Amino acid sequence: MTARFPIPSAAISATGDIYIVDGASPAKRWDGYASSIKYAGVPAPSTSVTVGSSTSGTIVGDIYAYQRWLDADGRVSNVSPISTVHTPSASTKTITGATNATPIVITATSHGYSTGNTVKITGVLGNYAANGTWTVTNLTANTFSLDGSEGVADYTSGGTAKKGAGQIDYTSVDAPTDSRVVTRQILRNKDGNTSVFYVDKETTDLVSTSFSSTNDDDALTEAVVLIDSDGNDVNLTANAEPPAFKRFVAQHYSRLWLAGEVDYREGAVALTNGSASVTGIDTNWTSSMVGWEFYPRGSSNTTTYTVQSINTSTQTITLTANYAGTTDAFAYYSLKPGDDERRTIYFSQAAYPESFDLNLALTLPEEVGLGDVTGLMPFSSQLYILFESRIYRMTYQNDPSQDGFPFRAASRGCLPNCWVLVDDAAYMMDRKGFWMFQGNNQEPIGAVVQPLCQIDAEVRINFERTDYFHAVHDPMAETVKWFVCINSHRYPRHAVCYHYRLQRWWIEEYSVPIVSSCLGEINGVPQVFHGSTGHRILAPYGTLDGANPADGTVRGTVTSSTILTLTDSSASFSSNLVDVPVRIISGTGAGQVRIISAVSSTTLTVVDPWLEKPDTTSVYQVGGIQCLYRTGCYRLVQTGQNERRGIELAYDPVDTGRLVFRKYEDRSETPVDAEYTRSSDDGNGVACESGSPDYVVDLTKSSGFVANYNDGFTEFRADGVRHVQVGLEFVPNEERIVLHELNLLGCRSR
Amino acid sequence: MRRYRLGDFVPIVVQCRDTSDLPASPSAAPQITVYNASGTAVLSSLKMPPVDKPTRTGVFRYELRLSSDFSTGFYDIYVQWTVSGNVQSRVEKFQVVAGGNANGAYIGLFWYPRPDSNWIIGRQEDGQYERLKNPRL
Repeated sequence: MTARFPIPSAAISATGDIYIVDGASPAKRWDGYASSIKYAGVPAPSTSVTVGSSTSGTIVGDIYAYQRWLDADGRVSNVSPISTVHTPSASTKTITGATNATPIVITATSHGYSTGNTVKITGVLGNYAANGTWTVTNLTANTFSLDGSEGVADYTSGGTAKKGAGQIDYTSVDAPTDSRVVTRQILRNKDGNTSVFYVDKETTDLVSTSFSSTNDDDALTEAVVLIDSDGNDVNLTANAEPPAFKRFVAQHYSRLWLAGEVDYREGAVALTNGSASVTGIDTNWTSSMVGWEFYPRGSSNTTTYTVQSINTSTQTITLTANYAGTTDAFAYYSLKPGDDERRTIYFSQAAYPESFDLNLALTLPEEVGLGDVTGLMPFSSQLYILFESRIYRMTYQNDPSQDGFPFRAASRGCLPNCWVLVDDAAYMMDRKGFWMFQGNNQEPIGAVVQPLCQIDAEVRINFERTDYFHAVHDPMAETVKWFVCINSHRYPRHAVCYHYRLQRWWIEEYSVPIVSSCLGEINGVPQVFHGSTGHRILAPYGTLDGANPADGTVRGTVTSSTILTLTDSSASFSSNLVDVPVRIISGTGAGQVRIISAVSSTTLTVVDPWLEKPDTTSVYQVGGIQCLYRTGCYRLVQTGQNERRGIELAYDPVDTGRLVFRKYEDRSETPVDAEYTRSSDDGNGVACESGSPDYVVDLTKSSGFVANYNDGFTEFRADGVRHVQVGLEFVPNEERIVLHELNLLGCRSR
Repeated sequence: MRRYRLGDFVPIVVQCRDTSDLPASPSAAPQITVYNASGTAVLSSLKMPPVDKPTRTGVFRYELRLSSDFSTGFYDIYVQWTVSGNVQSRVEKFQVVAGGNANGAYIGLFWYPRPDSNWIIGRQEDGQYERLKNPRL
């Protein structure tokens, strides 16, 4: 099975627990202490309890019952469907008289009641004071008095006497099968009240289906308000589990919010006309997808079907109706929650992040071009709902179900997981590019990197892989990084980076995929973490990619190699270098980067073969990070005089490290070869070789200053070079390379 | 022959053709069996989904994730399909080298600070969650 799991989303609730959702499996919760991550919420009993009664006692009236379940932390489920009414009536008698006296004497032929029995009387007309629940005194075989009663009028007609029961019997009590449930409660009402129920039975017996209780109304003390005084449902349907089909979660004030759906299209399906059975081809369907809508794409199909069941081991779906389209052995399809769910947003009860009333979902607006929900963003005091092409702001005062309303906040959107918050701004990426959002203001910011988003660009962002795109804020570098797939990579290996103070852009290329990121801290200092392949979480720090110079050799000169190895006989490589990149930084094979798969003390084995085998001229850097920089295109000064032209570089000297610069003329992408050979000593710290475009800077020079001058001028009316650019390329070792100045002499400032 | 590490994806692509060597649709999705160097089937009956079906006839692609079913060594991928009753097949080889991880990449990463300790929660490609405590450099 290789189909993807959906990318999860997480939020930390006001209670301090972390909640993770992915839209295709139940929401999960962890508190930082439990031994495992658990499913959030508590499932509810699905069938009603049957209520009965027995023996003689004081329990009277119309009895209803619910069952609900509790988890180990006391979270409660929704209640079961309500039972049918049961009226304890061990002995029901018809009343034929009720004296207007003190106490009232009731006439009921052969009542059979004994002194001290509890009897409920209803329906007496005339002397209505007789109606109620009484302790009775047996006077004769056909009469009894109501202790403490007082007649108010003459009896006219009607009336029934029912003796109370001593025990309530509950049967057909649904037994839980979910491991979250540790306790069961049976709730019943008291005589005359159906809004407040009381815990009549609480048990850790998770197996039995029959229970009994001798609690009379006075013994029922633990009230469970189902409907409050304003008529609001408090405990009937307010404690549903978080819906499993929402893929984005956010914490806002005291509530957990859920929005967005998975549109699952992984693999394909085999469809047979007239059959309700659908077989998956490289799918990864989950049991949470039962009830979703199944839409076969193509095959002349115009019908949507509902998923009745899923066999997750055989990856077979059973539809609620037979497939009516053309038989297709490998059809495309779409599997998603119902269309009516696309615009719903759910919120938990205040302070109860796992209690959702699914009847109170808010409906988001329909707007042409809106696209799907791509995230929930708590920002400032508001909650923003992100769509592919728009942003909506959710406002409410007290209760979102009563006064909540979404309205449009921006006319651009955001890709999933492609937003970060920095101070009072949100930096986002949509299919049009990069932009900044400040609540009431939206501003495009990425004009310089805009070509990456254009379909005809030679190097462009692959928007078919947006599921894996993500953004992270590095506060120490004052940078926002969007990790994107360039061209055909499966996972992001590039970051489009924006320094929001300097308003500068650059692109970083990584030797390993950066599939996910988060911002955390180490020793109280903010630290970005990247999730990669090979069971690696990377913490960008220092100058090397995954290599620690303290462990052994990380830089040297190759002494021999094979198509899959590199040997440095003087090296002492660490076994920690497995999965770390090695880069040939100069000499034969320069520019090649390979991932290390095995290490011996002097030899590195790489995953993929060298295209150009390194030799004894090759210098390697383990974990080497290549930095490329190109200046803008500057116009040369045209004075007709022999104007001095050249390049000056100022830097902090380092012991090792390599920096080369190359010259580009008139917007050419090909650097210009040097016309002469010059050593570093002869070349003011810059060495070059005739026929090579590389000007190698001596970074060890204690002055921290090198220069490369050349003579020449261009007359106004002569053909010649008009513009110049300079490109820098360097790979630091363990010391950081810091450049202070790059001067292009002989150029106009603009 | 390509070399992969655990957790990597091995792309498998076939173009089904008829007896005239023209692109053709098979009767069912091609099926993959992966054998190890001893000839034991490591995985079988993996069905391949089509690629760009409306415009490309008979092209199928499967991305085989190197899970814990695999270890370092050589493997044969055997793909079989049937076009108009003619059984066709294709065999490819690949090598699993050291490194990587069978659980796959971290597709989700979350920072979770708690009073006692800080956590990173990572979700891996195979759906597993992993909790890492008090990260440090």
